[in-house]
Amino acid sequence: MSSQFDAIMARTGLPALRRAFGEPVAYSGSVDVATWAMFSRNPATVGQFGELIEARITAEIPLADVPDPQPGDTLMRGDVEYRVDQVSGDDGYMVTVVLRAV
Amino acid sequence: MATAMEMLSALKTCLSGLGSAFTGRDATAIGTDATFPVATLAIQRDDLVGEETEIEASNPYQLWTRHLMLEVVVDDAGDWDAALDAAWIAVRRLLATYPHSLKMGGATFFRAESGSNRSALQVPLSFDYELNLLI
Repeated sequence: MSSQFDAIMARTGLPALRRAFGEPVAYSGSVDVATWAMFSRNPATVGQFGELIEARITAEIPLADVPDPQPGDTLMRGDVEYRVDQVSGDDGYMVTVVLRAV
Repeated sequence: MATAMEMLSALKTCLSGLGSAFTGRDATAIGTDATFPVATLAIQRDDLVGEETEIEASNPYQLWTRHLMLEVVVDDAGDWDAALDAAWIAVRRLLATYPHSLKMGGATFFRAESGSNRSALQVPLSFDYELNLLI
């Protein structure tokens, strides 16, 4: 049963997020769909004795378009192809996936 | 027998055949555009050579064993089994050419985390060196 908040998100929230932060992507694998995503780059340390800081890329994708993402799915952002390495969570509206460029 | 820094410098030169080799602060600031594999050498501790745990501090000629950790980060392109195996073989091949006495332990492997293509291996190393306080 959807709440009033769900209605607000569908009517106003998600379209606003898409306008402000969304980028068009092509998602393939568990579902093949042209949708949009919000990308984030987060620094992570590699190595214990040497130290390398690299950017890990995550994307938030509308759950309505990609309801059950799976590791191994692919996402095209322009000419760059990413592989879904892991699904790290969802808030009921957007699902977050950890990406690796292939 | 060489000093500790001479031994470390020779070891760094030996490992540079792998790609890049870093010691000291340089090892904590590896750029993502580095040529992988990247080797780093971190000193860990000194023990007396042999069974002794203590030495007379006034002894002017001392023999010590320096322990350090070699860490190698590889760009595994999604296949860390093959990449780490190749790097471990390359490390052993290079260390076999090291011109001084060197002890090595077994390797520990660390697979890449989600979202990363970088895996690592660690190898404990040690060498003996002299400290001549008369010089």
